[in-house]
Amino acid sequence: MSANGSDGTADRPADLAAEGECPKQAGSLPPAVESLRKRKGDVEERSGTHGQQSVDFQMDDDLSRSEGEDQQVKMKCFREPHRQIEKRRRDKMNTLIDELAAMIPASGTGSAFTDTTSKPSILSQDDLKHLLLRAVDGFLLVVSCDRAKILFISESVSKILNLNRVAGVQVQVDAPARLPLLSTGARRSFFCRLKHSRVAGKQEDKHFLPCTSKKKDTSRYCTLHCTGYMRSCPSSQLDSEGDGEMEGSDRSCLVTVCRLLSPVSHQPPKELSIRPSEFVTRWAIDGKATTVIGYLPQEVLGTSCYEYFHQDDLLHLADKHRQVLRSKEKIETHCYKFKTKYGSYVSLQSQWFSFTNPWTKEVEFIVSSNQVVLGSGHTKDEEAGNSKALQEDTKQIPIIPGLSSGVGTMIYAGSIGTQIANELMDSYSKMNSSPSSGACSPFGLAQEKCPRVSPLTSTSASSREEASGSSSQSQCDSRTAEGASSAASESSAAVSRIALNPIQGEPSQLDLDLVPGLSSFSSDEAAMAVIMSLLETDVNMGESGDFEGLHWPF
Amino acid sequence: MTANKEKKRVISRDAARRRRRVESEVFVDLSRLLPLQQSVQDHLDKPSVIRLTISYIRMHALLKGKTGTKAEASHAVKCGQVMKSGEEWRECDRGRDDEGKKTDDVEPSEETNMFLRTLEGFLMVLSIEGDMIYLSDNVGIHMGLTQTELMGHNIFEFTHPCDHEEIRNNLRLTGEEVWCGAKRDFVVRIKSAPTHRGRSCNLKSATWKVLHCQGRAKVCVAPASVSCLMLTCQPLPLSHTLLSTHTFTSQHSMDMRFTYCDQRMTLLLGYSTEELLGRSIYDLCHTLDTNCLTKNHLNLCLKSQSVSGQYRMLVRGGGYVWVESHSAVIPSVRPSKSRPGAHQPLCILCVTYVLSGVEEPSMQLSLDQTVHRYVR
Repeated sequence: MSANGSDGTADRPADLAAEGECPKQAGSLPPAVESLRKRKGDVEERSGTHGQQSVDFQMDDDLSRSEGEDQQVKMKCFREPHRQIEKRRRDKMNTLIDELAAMIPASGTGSAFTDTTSKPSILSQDDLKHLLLRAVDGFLLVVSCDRAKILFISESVSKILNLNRVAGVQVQVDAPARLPLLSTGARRSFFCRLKHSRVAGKQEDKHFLPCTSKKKDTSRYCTLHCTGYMRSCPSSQLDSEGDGEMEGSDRSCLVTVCRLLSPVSHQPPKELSIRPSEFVTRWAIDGKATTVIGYLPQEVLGTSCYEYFHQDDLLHLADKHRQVLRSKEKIETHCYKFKTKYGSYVSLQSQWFSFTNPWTKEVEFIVSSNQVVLGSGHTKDEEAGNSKALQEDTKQIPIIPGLSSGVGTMIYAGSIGTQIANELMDSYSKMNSSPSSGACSPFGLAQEKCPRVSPLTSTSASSREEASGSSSQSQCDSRTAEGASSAASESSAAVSRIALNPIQGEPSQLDLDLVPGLSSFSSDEAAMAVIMSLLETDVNMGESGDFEGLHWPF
Repeated sequence: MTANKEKKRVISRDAARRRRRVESEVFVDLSRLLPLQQSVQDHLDKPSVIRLTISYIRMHALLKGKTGTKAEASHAVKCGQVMKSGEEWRECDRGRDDEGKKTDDVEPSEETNMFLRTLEGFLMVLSIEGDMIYLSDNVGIHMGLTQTELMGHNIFEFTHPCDHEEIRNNLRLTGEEVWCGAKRDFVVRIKSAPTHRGRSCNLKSATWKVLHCQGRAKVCVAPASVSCLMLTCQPLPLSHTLLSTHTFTSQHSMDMRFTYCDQRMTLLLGYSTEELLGRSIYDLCHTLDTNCLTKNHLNLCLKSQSVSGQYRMLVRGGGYVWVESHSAVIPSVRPSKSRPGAHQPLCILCVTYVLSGVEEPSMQLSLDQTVHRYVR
């Protein structure tokens, strides 16, 4: 493994050897290493050795049989005598050592070489601290439990909250409301929001989660994830303000690392997003829709979107509906008309894709991103056409192939969606023997080469990217989604491999190889660990949890 | 003739011995130069000495290195984030240090140690090629393998093959994002070899551990250095101590349908347990967060543990709250010893933290919210 590193730079020594020269030792070393060599008293011997080397080599030449002793080491012949292999290895090592020696600052300049005051470490404490600050958007916080007084806060808080550390920090902790006395060593993890001040030009507010609309502009909150533990601290370390509370008893304090939560790209897309489900075409729709179609979300929930499609578009939309249920791709519709609350039609164009559950691989719902098509010049025609459409609704019934029209002269639009959906369900039940049970999925994973979810996640992410305009966050999102999705596709091929080669030598009794990570626990341990931890409560917590109601199947 | 040959062979052998001795001595010298404890130095083999030396040099080049030309720097300023060179970092923070000294007297080393200990994780600097250039020395506690055993090796040797693609994607840097934060947040499975007694053993008995890596990327244009990721890595715990107010647990089948949730869910979100049984979590959340949930679900299926990031859960009666879920896959029933080979049903356990109040309470986005208007 690490030999690869040295092999990587093997070309040079190989070339050197090819020239038939021994790598030069003397002149290229910094004094420190040079002195080391001299101290050994080996210099003479070493050059002597090299001389010997060449002598040996020549002698070996004489002794060796024909084979055409090719000095060019690039020809790696299996019958190459061992001596030459050895020599090559030596030369390689020597050259590498020289290179490294040249890089290491000579001792005496003393830059971060060895820290004589404390235990030696690769990085100085200062460097490590700076590294940590770069990696973590966070700070260290120590709060006393009884009065929620901040005992210590690290300087990185100034970067995170734009507050001057010396001046003091106003802490408004949302959760938990109070910090009760808790046993030492107990691990704590919670989220809280801290006030921060806006500094002109530096932090953008969109980095932080939105808070309730009642907040004034001047003070905004940022959300932090705090993890840490309780420890007791002797009261002498607490700020002595002469409160009269210095009773000498140990107080508890909470030591936490607070990390800023990574900003979420929740920028709403410019268009509306509707989510019909496949079984009964009902909607879950986001707020933007109201401005476009006039209906409040609650007014359309439960209805079929086919009821709003213009009659002329029913055919093509039904076709797209069928397509999207069977395809992993995003399906784009053509422009179509959508009936608004006021009776007029608005032109929309949508992108649909069906969302499949990663585990069951079944379609759960369809996500529709809809965009208003402006300037399509429909206005005049539309008005004329609208009145016609309303009249002709009952007369012309579009024949949609594949769907029974036996409902009568009036096809209820809603049934179109349901029928298409049912077609899919039928095909599912034909394909799978046990459709929606979770048990078949691990094997399903192994058999399928490409789980359907993979292109979906990437395409949805990329559409969102287009929608919300370019922002670095959405790019990040799509990348991570891609990473996850391509991991999925890779893993499906590899899952079977894992099953055959579990990381542990002993076969696990449970079939947990398909969910790697669990084979490291016996199932007893895993289950008990989780249960015991969930049942951990502290005495003074007040709401100790109504665990009698816990419905564990144990 | 034969005697001659024999003599030559002896000479050759002695020369070889001498060379090996000299070589070993050189390596010992090099290992003494490394800033490690003597006991550690004594036990390093030759490839390890070189590996650690290379890491040392790369790290220091990284910390000292400039991060780009002037043009790049000005571009960075426009994006609102300035990547400073190593020198500037230190000067900047030193200034603040002087102010701070008046109010507290915590040594930087103490603070860093406390930080890492409280975080329950270790620091890792990962080069673009995947070499673990640096690991903080508490890595041994979490991974079972010490800093000197791991540093300089490539991460792909230690992680699950199915996660390699994801790692590669995270190692890739685009030009735009580099100057604007370049955050990273992902979950990988990594080999770890701790024993019950905390001592490390060899890699043959290693198991997989799920590691949550968060941090940012840094571009370095100095010659001896490479661009890298600076990450904190935390093994995901299987247990969460629950605080009373804003957290609830739920149990799901593998397709993320609810099989149980605790009463706090009712308090926080308004749904009763009966309403949720059999419902999919995807029905309960904002459409735009489907992506986030899918990734979480996939992580669970593949890696058995996951942290979701923030997403929105719809509240009964209207509006939504921001939440973050920490989940794990566990066996759903106690295995019976009498049927050892039986296929074990699994379920998902989620601990969900509610991060915000109810936003846009009047907006009903889903059918689930409308039925039986919830009255607080």
